[in-house]
Amino acid sequence: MTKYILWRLAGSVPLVLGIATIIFFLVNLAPGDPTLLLLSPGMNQEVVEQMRANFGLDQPVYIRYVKWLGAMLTGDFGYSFSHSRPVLEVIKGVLPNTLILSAFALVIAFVTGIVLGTIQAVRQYSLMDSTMSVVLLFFYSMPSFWLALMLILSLSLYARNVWDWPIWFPASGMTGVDHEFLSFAGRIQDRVMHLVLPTLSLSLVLTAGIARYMRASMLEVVRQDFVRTAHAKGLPERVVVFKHALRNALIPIITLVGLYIPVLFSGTVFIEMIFAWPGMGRTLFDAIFQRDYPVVMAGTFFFALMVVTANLVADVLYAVVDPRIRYE
Amino acid sequence: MSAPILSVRDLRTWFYTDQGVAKAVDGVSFEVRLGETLGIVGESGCGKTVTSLSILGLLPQPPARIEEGSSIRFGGEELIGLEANKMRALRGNEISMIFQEPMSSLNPVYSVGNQIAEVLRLHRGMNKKQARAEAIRLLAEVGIPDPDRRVDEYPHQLSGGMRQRVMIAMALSCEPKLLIADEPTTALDVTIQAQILELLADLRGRHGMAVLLITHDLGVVAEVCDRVVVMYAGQVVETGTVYEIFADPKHPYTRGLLDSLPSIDNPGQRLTSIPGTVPTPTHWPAGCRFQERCAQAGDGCEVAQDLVALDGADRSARCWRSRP
Amino acid sequence: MKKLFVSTVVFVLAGCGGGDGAVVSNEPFCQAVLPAVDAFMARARAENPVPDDPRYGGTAVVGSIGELADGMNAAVSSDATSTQHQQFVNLMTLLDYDENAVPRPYLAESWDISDDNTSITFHLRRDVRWHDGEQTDAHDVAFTYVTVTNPLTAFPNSAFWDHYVKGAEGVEVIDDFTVRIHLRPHAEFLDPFRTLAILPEHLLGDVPPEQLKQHPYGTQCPVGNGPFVFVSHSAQDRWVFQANPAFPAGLGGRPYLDRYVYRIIPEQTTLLTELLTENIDVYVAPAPDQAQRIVDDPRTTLMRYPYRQYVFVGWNARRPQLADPRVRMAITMGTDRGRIVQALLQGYGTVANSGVPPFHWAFDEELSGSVTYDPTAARALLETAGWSDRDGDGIRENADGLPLSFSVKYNNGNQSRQDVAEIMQAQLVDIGIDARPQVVEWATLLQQINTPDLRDFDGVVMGWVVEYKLDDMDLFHSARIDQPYAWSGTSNPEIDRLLERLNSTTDRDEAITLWREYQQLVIAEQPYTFFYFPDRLDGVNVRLKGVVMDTRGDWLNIREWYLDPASR
Repeated sequence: MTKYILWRLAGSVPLVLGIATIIFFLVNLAPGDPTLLLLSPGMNQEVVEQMRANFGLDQPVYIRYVKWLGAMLTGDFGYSFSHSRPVLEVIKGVLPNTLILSAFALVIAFVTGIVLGTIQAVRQYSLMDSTMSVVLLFFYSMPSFWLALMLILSLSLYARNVWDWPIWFPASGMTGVDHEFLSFAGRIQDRVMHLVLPTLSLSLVLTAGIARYMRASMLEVVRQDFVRTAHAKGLPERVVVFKHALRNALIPIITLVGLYIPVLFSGTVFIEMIFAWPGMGRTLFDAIFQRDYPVVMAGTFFFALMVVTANLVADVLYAVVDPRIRYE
Repeated sequence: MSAPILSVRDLRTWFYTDQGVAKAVDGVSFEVRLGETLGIVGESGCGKTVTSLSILGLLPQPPARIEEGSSIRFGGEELIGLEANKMRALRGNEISMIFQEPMSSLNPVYSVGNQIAEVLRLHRGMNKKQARAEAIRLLAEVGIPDPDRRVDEYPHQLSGGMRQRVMIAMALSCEPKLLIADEPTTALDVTIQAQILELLADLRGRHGMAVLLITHDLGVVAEVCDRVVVMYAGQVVETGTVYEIFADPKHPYTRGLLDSLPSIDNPGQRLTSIPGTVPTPTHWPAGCRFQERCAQAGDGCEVAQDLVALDGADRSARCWRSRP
Repeated sequence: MKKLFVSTVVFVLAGCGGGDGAVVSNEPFCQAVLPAVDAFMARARAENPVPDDPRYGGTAVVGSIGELADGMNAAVSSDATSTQHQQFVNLMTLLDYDENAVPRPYLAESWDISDDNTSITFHLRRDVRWHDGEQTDAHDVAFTYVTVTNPLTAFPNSAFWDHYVKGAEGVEVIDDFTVRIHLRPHAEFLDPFRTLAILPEHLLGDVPPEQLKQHPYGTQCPVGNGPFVFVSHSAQDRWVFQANPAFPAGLGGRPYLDRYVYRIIPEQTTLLTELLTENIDVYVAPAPDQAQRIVDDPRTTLMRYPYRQYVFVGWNARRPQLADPRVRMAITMGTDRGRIVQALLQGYGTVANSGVPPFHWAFDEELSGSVTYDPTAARALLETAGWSDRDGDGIRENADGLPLSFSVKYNNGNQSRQDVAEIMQAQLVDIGIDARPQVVEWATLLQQINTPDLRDFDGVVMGWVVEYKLDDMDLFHSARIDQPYAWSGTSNPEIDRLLERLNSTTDRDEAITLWREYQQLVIAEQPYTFFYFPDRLDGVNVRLKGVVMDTRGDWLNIREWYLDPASR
C-alpha cells in the first residue's frame, strides 16, 4: 500500500511540472502585459519601458522560463506585480481561505448527497423519492453563481429586512468587521455565520449530483445477489442497507471525489467573487486579467498540485473501501 | 414416519407486471421431513427458484404476491403472513438458504469470517471473539484447509468451490432445521461439484436437517436426493422417490428429461432433447401445459390435467396416460 | 471520533485564514516601522483624550469593488480610489480645494507665487507629525517631488510635471518648513498638489526609485500623517484604519470616527445587499439601476454628483471609413444620446459633447445643444460626403464600393459600454451604417488601441477621467500622435495651437474664451462621439452623518464623518 502511494506520488511530479510549463507559456504568450494596465495619461514610451524593465519583462520568454523554473524549485515564486509582495506570501494569505471553503463544501456535499441518495434508493418510487428527484434536479441545473445570488437575496436581504427572521446571514466576507474584538466563542460563531452562504452555494450543486449518482449506485447494488444473501441470513433492513449495500455503492462515488475537486475549485472563483471571500480563486482570476504572471503561475501550480493530490487521495480511498483493489 | 418439517400446500405465487399476471408458481404442494433430501427438478422458467424464495419470503411483494389459499407451514407454523421480525428470526437460523453463484452471493468488501460471524452474532448472540472462533471451526467443518488464515480473507481470494463451502458454513452456522439449496453446484466444475455434494450429504447426515435441493441436473438428483418433485410450467408434474422416478417415470416430461441424459453405456449416440421451449408464465396454455412438446400428446390433453395419486407413498403424476 | 471531528473544525475555523484582520507583515521594513507607530500612538492617545462630544466614536465601513492596488504609495499608484485614500485618509496633500475648486491650505498653511509664475514657495504647518512621531517637514516634500519627477520611478501621472522643472533642480529646501518649487508658467499649476500626497523621506528616502513599486510600504505598512492611522490590510478583503489622536487641532483634531474599514467586495449585488442589511455604511459607485432601491429604503440615502469621467466612442480616423469628419459627425447625429442617458443611466448623467465636464468653469453651456439627434440631417450629410446605398443592401458604400461598415470594440465585463455599443448599432442601421459591436478582453484591448503601430480598432467604447486641470494634449495634439493615447489620430493645426496656448494661459478669463473656441473645434472635428458624463453615485446609511461628497471626491471629508450616537 505504501509502495503504491509512493509510486503514484513520484508519477505526479512530472505531471505537475508539465502543467506548470504549459501555463507559463500560455500566460506569457498572451497579448498584453502588466504595464498596459498601469498606463496613464502622459506616460510616454520610456516610462512604459522602464516599468517593464522594473518587472523583468524585457527579457525573452525562454530566459524568463528558465529563471522561473529554477527559482520555483527553491521555493521562490517571485514577486507579485499587482500585490507588491512576494508571491508565496500572497498565496499563503489566500490559499487557506479557499481550502476551508472547499473542504466544508465538499464534506457537506458528500455526506448529504450520500444520505439523500441512499434514502431515495431505499424508498424508490415513493412520493419522497420523486419529489427529491425533482428538487435535486433543480439544484443540479442551477449555475452556482446564480444560486449564490439567490441565497444572498433571500437569506441575507429578505430574511433581515422583509421577512424579519431571527437569523439572517452576512452577505459577504470571511469575518465581520469587529472580528478581532469578539470572544473566542464569538469568533467561532462569526466564522460559521460567514461560511454558511458560500458553502451552501458551492455544495448544493454538488450534493444534487452526488445524490443522483448515489441513488443509481445503491439501486444497482441492492439488486446484487449478496444483498439477497444478507436478507436470507435474517439481517434487519437497516443492516442490509448500511452495512452490506452502502459500502459497495460508495465505490463509484469515490470516483466523484477525484472528479469534483477541480469542479469545486473552478466554482470557487465565482463564489469568492460574489461573497468577497479572500481566496485563491479570486486572486488567480484577478492576476490573470492583470497579467500578474508570477501569481498566475504560482496559483495554477498550486491548483494543479491540489487536483493531483485529490486524485491520489481518491485512489487511496478506493483501496481502503474495496479490498479487491488492495491486493492487486 | 415423522411429521414433515416443511409443508407446502397449493402455493401460488403470481407476479403482477405490465405484461400481465405471470403465474410463476401455480398450485404447488410438497413436504419435506427432517433427515431427508427433497429434490425439485425442472428446466429454467418452471418456477422452482420462485418456490424456494417464496418459502423464505424473499420476493419483493409488489410485484410478487402469494395468493390467497396458499400455505407454507414450517414446524407447524404458517409462514405466509408471518410478522416481519418473526420471519427474520427464522431466516439464517432455522431455515437457511444457499445460492447458485457463490462469487456474487458473498459481499466482496467484507472478509468471509466477518460474514459468517454476522449470522452467529445475530442469531446466537455471540460476541466478536466467540463468533470468530466459531467461524474458524465452521470453516474447518466444511473442509476448508488453513481456516485461521482463510477466515480473514476476502471472497475474491478464494476459489469457486471454497466460496460455496463458505456459503454452506454460513448457512449451517445456526444449525437450521431446513436448508434450501438453490442450484448449489451449477456454477462449479464437475470435480468440485462432486465434493460439494458429498459435503452436503455428509452434513445432512451429521446434523439431521431437512434439505430442499433445487436443480435442473438429474445427475445431482441421483447423487443426493431421497425424493423428487418434478416441476413444469409452474406446476408439479410428478413426485416420487428417486428410484421410482428414475426406474419408472410416469410423466412424459420426466421421461424426456431422463432420455436427454447422456449415457456412458452408449458413447457416440446422438442426444435426444425435448423439442420446443417452456411457455411464458403470463400465458400458460390451456389444457395440459406440456402438450405442445409432448411426444405422446393425444385427445385427453385438451383438458387441464390434475395431479393424480399413484401407487406408492407420495407417488403422483399429472398425465391422463399415467393413470392405472 | 465525533469529538475529534468537532475540535478539528473549531481549530481550523479559529486559526486559519487571514480574515481576522490581525495580519502583520513579516517584511523586515514593516517589522521595524510598526512598533514606532504603536508607541507614538499610545503616547498620543494619552496626551489627547477623547473630547466629551457624543459624536466621537464608532466604526464606519465603506464597501467598494476595487482593491487599493498600490495602497498608500503615492509615487506609483494610478487608481482613483487609492489616490483618494492618500489625499483624505492616511496621508496629506499640500492643499485641497473648496466647493468652488479654489485651492485652500492643508499641509501647507500658505504659499507664495512669484510674479512671473515660475516658482511656488510653500510654507508648511509645523504641527503635523508622521504616525511614528517624526515631524513632517520640507525634506519630505522635496523628497516626494524629486521622486515623482524621476522617470525611474514611473510615476503614472507624469503628465502633471510636463511644465515643471524636474528632479532636484526643481525643488529647493529653504528651511525645515519652507520649500520652493520651480516651474514654467502654465494653467492650473497648483492642481497636481491637490492630489499628490507627501511621502515620508525618513522611511523611503533610501529606496532606489525603480524599486518603489514593489516596496511593502504602500500596501503592508504605510505610515502616514493624515487623520487616520493604518492598522491592517488583508489582501482582497479589507483595509482597517483608526483615528489619529495627534492630528493637528488647527485642522479639526482627531476625526470623530474611532475606526474606518474599507471593504473590497467585487460583486455589485452583494454590495447592495450589504448596504441594505446595514453591514456597510457606504456603497461607493452603485450601478444606476440600483439607485432606486437606495432611494426607496428609509435606512439609506443616495448621494449624487457630477463626476469627472466621460464615456465616449473613439474613432480611428486612420481608417478609410472614418477619415472624413462629416462621417463622424453623421454618426453622432444618428445616435440618440439623450435617450441613451435616460435608458442606461436612469437619468443619472449628462450628455457630453466634448471632454469638458458640465460643472467645470471652462464649460460652454451654449455649445451643449450644438449636435442634436437628427437622423435626416445625418443621412443628408452622408450623401454629401459621398456615401450612398448603391447596392440596396441597406448599408452605404462610397464611390469605390467600400461599405460603411466597421466594428466598435468594448471590454468585456462592462455592461454599460456593451449597451452603448449595441444601442449605437441599432440606431446607426437606420442611417445606413453597419457598426458591429465586438467584445475584447481588457488587457488585450488596451494593447490593441494603445500600441502606436498597431491601432487595431475602428471604434472603441472607452472612459476617460479628467482632472480639474484639463489637458487634452495626449488625446488630440499632433505632436503626440505616436503616443499611446492618440487613439483617433486626427491632426488639426488649429486645435494644436489652442491646446498649446491653453496650457500656458494662467488668466482664467482669457482661458474661458480659448476653451470655447477649443470646444467648438472639437465638436466640428468629432474625433470621438462623446456620449455622457455619468453622475457619481454613493449609497450612504442614514446613521452616518456629516458626509459631503462631490466632484472633489467621495472620501472628501471623512475626518468629519460621524455616526449617530443612538445607532452605535
